[in-house]
Amino acid sequence: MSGIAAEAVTARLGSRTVLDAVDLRVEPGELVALVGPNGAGKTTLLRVLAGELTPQSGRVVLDDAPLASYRALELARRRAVLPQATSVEFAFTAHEVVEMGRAPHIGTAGMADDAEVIAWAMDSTDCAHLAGREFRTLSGGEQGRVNLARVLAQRTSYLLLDEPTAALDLRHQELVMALAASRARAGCGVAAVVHDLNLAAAYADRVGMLFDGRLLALGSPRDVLTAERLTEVYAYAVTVLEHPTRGCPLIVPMEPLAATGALVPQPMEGPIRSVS
Amino acid sequence: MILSSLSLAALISACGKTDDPGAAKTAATTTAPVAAVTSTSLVTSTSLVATTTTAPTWPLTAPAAKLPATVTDANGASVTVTSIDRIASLQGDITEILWTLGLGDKIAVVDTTATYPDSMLKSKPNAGFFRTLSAEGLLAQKPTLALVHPGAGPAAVIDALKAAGVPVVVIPELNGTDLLEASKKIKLVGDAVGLSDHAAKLAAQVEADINSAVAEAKAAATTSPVAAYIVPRGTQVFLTGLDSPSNAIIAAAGGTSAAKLLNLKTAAALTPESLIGVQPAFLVSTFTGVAQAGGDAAFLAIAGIAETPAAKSKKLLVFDDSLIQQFGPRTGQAVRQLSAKFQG
Amino acid sequence: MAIANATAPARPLPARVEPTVRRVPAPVLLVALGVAVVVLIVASVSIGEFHVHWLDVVRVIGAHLGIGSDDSVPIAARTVVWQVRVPRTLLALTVGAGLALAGAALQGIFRNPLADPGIVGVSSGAALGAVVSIVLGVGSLGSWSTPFAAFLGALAVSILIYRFARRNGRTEVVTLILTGIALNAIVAACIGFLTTQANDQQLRSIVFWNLGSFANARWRYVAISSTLVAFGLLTLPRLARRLDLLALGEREARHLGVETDELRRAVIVIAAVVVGGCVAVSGIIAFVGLVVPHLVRLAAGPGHRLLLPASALGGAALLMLADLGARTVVAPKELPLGVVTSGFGGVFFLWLLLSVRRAQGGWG
Repeated sequence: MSGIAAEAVTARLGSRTVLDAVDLRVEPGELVALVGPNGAGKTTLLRVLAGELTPQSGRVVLDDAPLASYRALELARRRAVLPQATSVEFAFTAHEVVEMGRAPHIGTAGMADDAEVIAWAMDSTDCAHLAGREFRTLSGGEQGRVNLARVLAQRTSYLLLDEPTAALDLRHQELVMALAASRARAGCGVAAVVHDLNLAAAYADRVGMLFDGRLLALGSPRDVLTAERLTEVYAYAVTVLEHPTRGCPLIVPMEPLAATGALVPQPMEGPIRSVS
Repeated sequence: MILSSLSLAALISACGKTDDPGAAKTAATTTAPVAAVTSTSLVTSTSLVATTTTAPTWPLTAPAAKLPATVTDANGASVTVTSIDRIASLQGDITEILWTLGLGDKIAVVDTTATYPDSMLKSKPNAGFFRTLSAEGLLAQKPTLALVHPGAGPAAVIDALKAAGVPVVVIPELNGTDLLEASKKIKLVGDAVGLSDHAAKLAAQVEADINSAVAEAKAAATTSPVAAYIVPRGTQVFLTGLDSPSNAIIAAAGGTSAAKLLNLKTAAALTPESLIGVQPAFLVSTFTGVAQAGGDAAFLAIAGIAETPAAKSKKLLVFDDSLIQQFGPRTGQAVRQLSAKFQG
Repeated sequence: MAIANATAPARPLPARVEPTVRRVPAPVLLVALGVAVVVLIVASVSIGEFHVHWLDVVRVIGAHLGIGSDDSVPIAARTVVWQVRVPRTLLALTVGAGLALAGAALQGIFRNPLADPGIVGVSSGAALGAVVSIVLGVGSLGSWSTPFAAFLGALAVSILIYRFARRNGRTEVVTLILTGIALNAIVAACIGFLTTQANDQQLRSIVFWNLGSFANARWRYVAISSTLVAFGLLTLPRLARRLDLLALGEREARHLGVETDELRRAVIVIAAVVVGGCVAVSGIIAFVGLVVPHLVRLAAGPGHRLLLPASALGGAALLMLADLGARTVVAPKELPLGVVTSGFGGVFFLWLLLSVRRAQGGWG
């Protein structure tokens, strides 16, 4: 059975349990969005799926074999990982960074397509024009897209993306999520940590809601992203409307005062002295 | 790295079996020019410069050398010398002996340990410190013979000299405790340049001079003042050991060396108290040593020196380096001059 | 609810042209460095205090290569050329190539452009190994004993630096430099202790390790350095692509199929072999491994497939030039090579530190 799956994964960092018996399978052809408040365990789950973190119990299975049984190179040919942020030491250009995504295919038949694949990856992420720039001089959003292009250039069956839309402007957020969805249409299994619930609602085939280390809900965006659940999980009142054109839920936060009140900043005690 | 190397170099010259005038000299030329110290820089201290007054016949006039001459050198190598027209003299005491023998004009190149006689050294090319020689620099002087200290090097340079057909004769250091090693050294140098008889004559002169100087000193000795031969190293007091010529000369001149009182077999850096403990009446050092300390006043102000009776009465005797750090033709003079100061 | 103009489709923005990094093309750089190396070899065997006509130089070298005869050349000139200049030139060439190569590779592993074998203490470790072998008189491997001991010393220090200076997959500049200072101090203390145990002759050798020099060049040293440096030149470039990937970070490199632990071990061991071989024959020569890779990166980019061979060529050229200066500037005396390399290298290092600080906005 193909797919990448976490089976009863429990992970602890120090004494804190950050993942508690989580089961999640990402199948080829689907985009699974992982959502949840800060500290819910989204990134940890992605790192466990990527093999960066070995869970205390449970295991990760990739295409029917335990993750631990793969050599790094075999893994690199099957799945690509986009971490939250990647710093590049030394003055490599954006093109060179994307080219690094082709490294797992050196010495294989796939090598012949290198130039084509790199061009496609950079076009898809709208960073072809950055090709000759030094990576370190790019803005955060530009760096993010170049890194995504590098991950795409790996041409793997599975993509594990940690906040691929972070630091991107609105247009690029949509573009990147559409790209992730199109990779899924093309047969890839894609898991993405997404903070923007509307992006998850619009593009994901399934949404996994993590809260306090547990997978609270997993299913279609419409089933998972309900007003009650979101209000409880995020401790903030939201309402869910129907998106006017996309045929998906639209999550809208309510006024600040309608929430519990705990999140409203209280004035500091005592007068604030002005510096004359 | 550089710092640690320098301190290592200092340590080495200190740990060597005997005085290493070369190391002190090299270090000194990089810090303060030797010429900065004049013999009258401090009224109450006395600078001793060897003069030729007691041996007016030096340098001798050398007869024609008997060549080729075959000698067995300090390393046991049999070396045949065919020409002494251009001698690479790679140790200060060898250079002084060659000059005294009357071969000053045959010296093609010297090293930085040579300090005597100044008048001749001014006109001689210098190949650097005898332990860090340059093969090309030496060969460019087209030497026909090299007389070297056992520690001359790097080894590859000595090999290159030999490979280029230059006979290399290693002269043993002979700077121990016996003043008459001076005459032995003279004979060995004489053998190497085909002037055995001539050198034997000089050796006899030197031996007689030393013997009479020692006898005079003994006769004149009414007291045996404590004298400390000091090589300053930064702010540390460094004494040479009983195995060095300086302390042998002090003893021969009727003094009691601080090294003897402290039972220092080999050279060592002292804690400030130890020198105060032996209460030296005289301090003995060299031009280079005093220059390194920053002059007479600075020398006498070094912790451990300043508190001695000698420093308080400013009894600092400053010698030409090669006169007191090694045995040579002028060793008798060194004994006489020290004796005069001790008993004066 | 009013939705304003939300139906306009996303359309492509106009194409932009961004400035590109300007670099010297790889073939141009390699050819230029190659020419520099050849010119310096010729200069190094032709120039010196001892005057030898260039035709005689050619005759002597030719004769030893089996072409023609050098009977017409005086023996002193033959010695100067074949026993002094040629081994010395080859020693400077191989040591320069080795140190720059090892420096470039270590910088890749540490992800830090300041990781010079001399600065971080790898060379001192090699020197300590060499000194230990001399003082203890461990000589079971003949003339290879000292290089082997130097290798062990270099390896031990590399591992220590790696353990101490790395955090979260990268080495911070400050930690790396401070670790280097600490390790250099410890090594200096060990060598200082050994000097008290050494005899006179051993002490001379110990000084030699601390002040790098080619003055004691001999053919058998050339054999040692060229063998070990050749080993580095044959192995490290094979790891070049993987070193490139490491620039992304250890985690990212692993996701791209690099067995990072194996890579790290391999590079550290190979670099220790190369540095050990270099230090064993020439003592510590600092900054070559820092200056050369940095200049190559500035000129032609950081890709290790070019960086490693170009650094080797550049290092060879730089040390031949420095040595030529060391033996001609104050001739007939010798200037310690360390004075030349540390003098220029120190200034360069300061400049590099400042530029790293500027780039990182602090002492990251």
